[in-house]
Amino acid sequence: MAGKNTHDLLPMPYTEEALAHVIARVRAVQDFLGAPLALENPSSYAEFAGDTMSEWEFLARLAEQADSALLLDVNNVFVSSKNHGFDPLTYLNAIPFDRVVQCHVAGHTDHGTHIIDSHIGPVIDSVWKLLAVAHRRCAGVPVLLEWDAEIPSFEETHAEALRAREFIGGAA
Amino acid sequence: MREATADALGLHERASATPDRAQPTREIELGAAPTWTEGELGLRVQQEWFAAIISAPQDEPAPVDERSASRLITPSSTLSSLERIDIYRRGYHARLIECLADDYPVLQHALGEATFEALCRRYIARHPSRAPSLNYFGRFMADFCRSEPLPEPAFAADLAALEWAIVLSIHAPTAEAIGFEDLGQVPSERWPGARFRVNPSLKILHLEYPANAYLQAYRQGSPTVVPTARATSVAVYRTGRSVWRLELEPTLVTLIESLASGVTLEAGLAQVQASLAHEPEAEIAKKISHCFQHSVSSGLFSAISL
Repeated sequence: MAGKNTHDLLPMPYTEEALAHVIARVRAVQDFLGAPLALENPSSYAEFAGDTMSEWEFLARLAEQADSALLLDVNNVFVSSKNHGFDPLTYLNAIPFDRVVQCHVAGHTDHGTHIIDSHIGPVIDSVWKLLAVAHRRCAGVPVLLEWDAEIPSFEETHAEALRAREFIGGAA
Repeated sequence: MREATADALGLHERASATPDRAQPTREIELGAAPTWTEGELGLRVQQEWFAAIISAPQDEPAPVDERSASRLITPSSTLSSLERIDIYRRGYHARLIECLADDYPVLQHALGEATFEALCRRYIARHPSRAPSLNYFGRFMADFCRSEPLPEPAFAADLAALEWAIVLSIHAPTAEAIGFEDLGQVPSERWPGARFRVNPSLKILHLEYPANAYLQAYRQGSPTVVPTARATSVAVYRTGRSVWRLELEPTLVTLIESLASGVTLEAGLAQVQASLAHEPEAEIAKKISHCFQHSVSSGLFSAISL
């Protein structure tokens, strides 16, 4: 932005202008690569005052109109739902699950006033339950546990990853 | 002695997670009254505003007030608009400081965490990232240290130069080293005209302080003391998945730098001989032989052409 790179997943306004902007760029990349991108929903801590649609509507329309795949991070859905005060099931109900090619789960850090997508610690049950709801509608897609810092032993991390089986019927 | 860096290929993923910095330790201060309360808010303007706010130095007041911030970002039930933006502002600086700490752990140790973090904040303000990759974000640190009010800026600059050479060697192309068995196949009459290619990742640093000895002591967990100034030369290079640091005697520097410039072995050895002109002839021959063997056994050469 303005010649600088912030190296962050910044929030963006969910408007018709932004949607058209992103669709054009996703299409250009896909045309160049000759393959679809899998777009991931982010965690966010801020909402633009000028938003004219919800994130789930933005994401669904983006995937449909750019003809791209989706990488559904259910922890990100949970984090944003707490930070912005929406029902995560409303979000999931709007997702075109035929386009979802992978699901992500992760731990997060609750600061009371907001939640940070830190990828630290075990996945909480509320997020596992969201995975169960989502995965029923895109059965068979792989699930990835993200744990980027304060990583425990392999055995503990592996056991956490295998907890996915409790929620998606042994398909992990 | 040739010493491997502790973490060999220390490639660090720059993860997509948000740095989990503690809560702000102070209230957000406000800067001059903004002029962002009027006019159309198109996508570009909104993104530029947002980026400008989050990249503003954290030790300076926020560049907007709550009224302007709320025109851009809505408050939540628990956080004001400015507080929500400040999560990204803290994340922006925390991520870049983390990146510099990854690249400069020994400089961080030498300066102490607080001084290092303050240095990083000034660095970020002076050299904001302008590339999609963070791998080269820290490339100005050595020069930056020289101009900063640090206790020993020249020593800090040498440490930074050494650590940056390690980073560069990790990302540089390399090649398999040739050994004595390869040299054994060279017919004796072809030796004078032979040319050597040095390892493509090789960097030779000329430092004012023995920074490599300090770095090695840190890596070994030995006590570290800021040394007195003493000129040293250090080769940093990679073979396979190992990064090596090798302190070079002046004779070896002359030999490697001359061969790296593309001259023949005969010309290179002549340069070494000239640099030792004040020494007895027998000593010169012994030194040259030692230098050459040391270069080969250290894996500094990757090819020989006849």
